Amino acid sequence: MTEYPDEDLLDQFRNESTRNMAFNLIVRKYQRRVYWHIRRLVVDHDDADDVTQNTFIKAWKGLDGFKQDSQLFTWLYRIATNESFSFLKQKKANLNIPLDDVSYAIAISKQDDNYFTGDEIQKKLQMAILTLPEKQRIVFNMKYFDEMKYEEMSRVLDTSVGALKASYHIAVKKIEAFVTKGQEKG
Amino acid sequence: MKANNHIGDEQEDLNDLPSFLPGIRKEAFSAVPEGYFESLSDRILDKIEDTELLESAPVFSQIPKVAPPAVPANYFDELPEMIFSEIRLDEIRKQSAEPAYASYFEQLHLEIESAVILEKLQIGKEEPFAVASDYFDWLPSVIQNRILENKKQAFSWTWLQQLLLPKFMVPSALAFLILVFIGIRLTDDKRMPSKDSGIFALNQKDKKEVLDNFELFGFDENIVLDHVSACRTSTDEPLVPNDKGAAIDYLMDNNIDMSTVGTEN
Repeated sequence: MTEYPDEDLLDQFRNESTRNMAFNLIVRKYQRRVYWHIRRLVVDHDDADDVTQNTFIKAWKGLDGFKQDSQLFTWLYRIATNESFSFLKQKKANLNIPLDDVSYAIAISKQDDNYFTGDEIQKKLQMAILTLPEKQRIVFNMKYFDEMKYEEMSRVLDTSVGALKASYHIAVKKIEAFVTKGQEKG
Repeated sequence: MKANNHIGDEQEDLNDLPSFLPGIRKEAFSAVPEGYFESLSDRILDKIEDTELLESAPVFSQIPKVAPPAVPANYFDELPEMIFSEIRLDEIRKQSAEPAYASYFEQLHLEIESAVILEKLQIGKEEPFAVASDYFDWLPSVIQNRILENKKQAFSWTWLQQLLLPKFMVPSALAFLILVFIGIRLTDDKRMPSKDSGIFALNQKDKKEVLDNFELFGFDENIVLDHVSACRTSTDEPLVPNDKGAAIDYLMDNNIDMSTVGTEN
């Protein structure tokens, strides 16, 4: 599928007659990256589906006021991140789980997720990621899986590059500890 | 001045001063610097203010009055730019201020260490989660449908909000009352038995009778009802006349050629 430049899509979005078509193209352009970003945070497919839809609906509502100071994708990523965190908070409240345990509890409950196709080591990695605090988890995912540059991450998360590098390093150390501990037991 | 001298005599002596001091001109005493009298009142007021200040706060008497130091030329022209530069520098310093990981090389070391750890763990970067193969084909449509629903809801809400504006309040209230009135009328009409209530209002026996004697399709329900009513009010006889004479009368009344009517079995 042809991918149009963001500027063209935004111009068409501002035009009432091509608005819907432009938005459809924006969704098609970014849906995969947004979905996988969300999926890694909320784990379950159905949850990721809901959050992805909400992300794009919010984008539709806010796109009129979108200033092209930042990239469209950075902006979408930011909405997706906030939506994911809000969702996890709500889920934690509904399940009545203490703040620090929510990720772990979700991880345990989703071990038999039919949509998980990774091998044992990948499952272990996902479990390790889910035990990380939210900020470290998102930094790790963005750096490791999405291979985003620190500068771009900095714009999405509104955090300094130095702090992101530190967070990533701490996350990697924790993951190492989690995985090797599991290997020793096994 | 001489003792026991009269003041008048003394005055006269003073008036004679030029005769004793021939080198001094009288008018020389009346000369003052230019503008002296114009600025005199201001200087007196300044003096009074200074005196008052010293009286109310004696500590000022110990502080020497020094003229402000001179500033380099264009100092005040360049000052705003200098202040903004300082602010910008401060922002940059804040952004890069990470006490634990301050230096670039320290951060580089951490990055290398992180990469080594992940390499050692031998974890693939492949996406471990799966999704239905056609999921991304229909996701845009789902999202746009939801947006459409939201728009409809938003539209109706906006419309309602418009109606509740003060300028539309009276017409809205009137329209609402009219609608309520019409609604009540319609409800009452439905409750009233009418001709239009149709065949469905008949009891089972009457329905069977009607259906046995008339064609099933294309009939006018009102005719059926008229027949049924007529039958039920006069006699309980069947709807179609079975008396031969009455049948002949019926045919004649309706100008029907008897030869076209089939013979009785």
